[in-house]
Amino acid sequence: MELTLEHRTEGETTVLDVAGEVDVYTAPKLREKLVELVSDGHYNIVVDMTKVEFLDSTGLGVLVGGLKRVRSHNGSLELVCNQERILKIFRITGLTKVFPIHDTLEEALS
Amino acid sequence: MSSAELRIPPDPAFVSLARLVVAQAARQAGVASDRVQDVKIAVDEALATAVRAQAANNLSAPIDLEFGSTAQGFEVIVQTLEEPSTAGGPGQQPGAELLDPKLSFTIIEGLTDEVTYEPDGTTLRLRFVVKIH
Repeated sequence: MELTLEHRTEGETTVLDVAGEVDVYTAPKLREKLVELVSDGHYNIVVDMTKVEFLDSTGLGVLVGGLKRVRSHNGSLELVCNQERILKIFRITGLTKVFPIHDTLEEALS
Repeated sequence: MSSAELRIPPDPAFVSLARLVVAQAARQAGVASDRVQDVKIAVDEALATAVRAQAANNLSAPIDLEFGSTAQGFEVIVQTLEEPSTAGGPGQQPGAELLDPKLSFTIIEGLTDEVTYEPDGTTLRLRFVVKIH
């Protein structure tokens, strides 16, 4: 399963749509995308993970790295995720306390 | 242990194939469907840890998986073997630097019923069990 990444701007927020599997093989691609967005001045990012089918600790590490980058510019990185199997990984690792996680994109943008 | 074995290169590109194979074996062994996903993620984390370990030690030896049913449940053993490095081998994949081993172990412990981890010099052996019923 390929990892696809597409971003768009919604007001002052940049939405990054992530679809597919985020693992040790594909996570570098996500990391590069987040680095590129922050380098281009996108400091308020919502990562929409609704279409993510698999996520492991490599992906979590990349998201934490992205969060550190936007915070260094007083920005934010929030997630949209409503899949129990993905949320379970965030809960086990305690990262539900680190990331704001929303059920829907509308909620994240409100 | 009625088991199968799989050997992959320490290359991130092979991790998804291996986790799919082991997940299917878990399904066939009678692991409940919601826990098959746990097996899949635990295998991924174990392999990612092994891939990272090989990269950190500049080793290109393959990673061995053994998996199947035991009296305890569905058991998976992931281990690496020591071998002299080969310059430019797959152990130098860029993705390896992204991994946090503590995060991997936290996830494996959270998803499985029994875990043992035996690092030995530049090799590792990680075993976990998910109950079938």
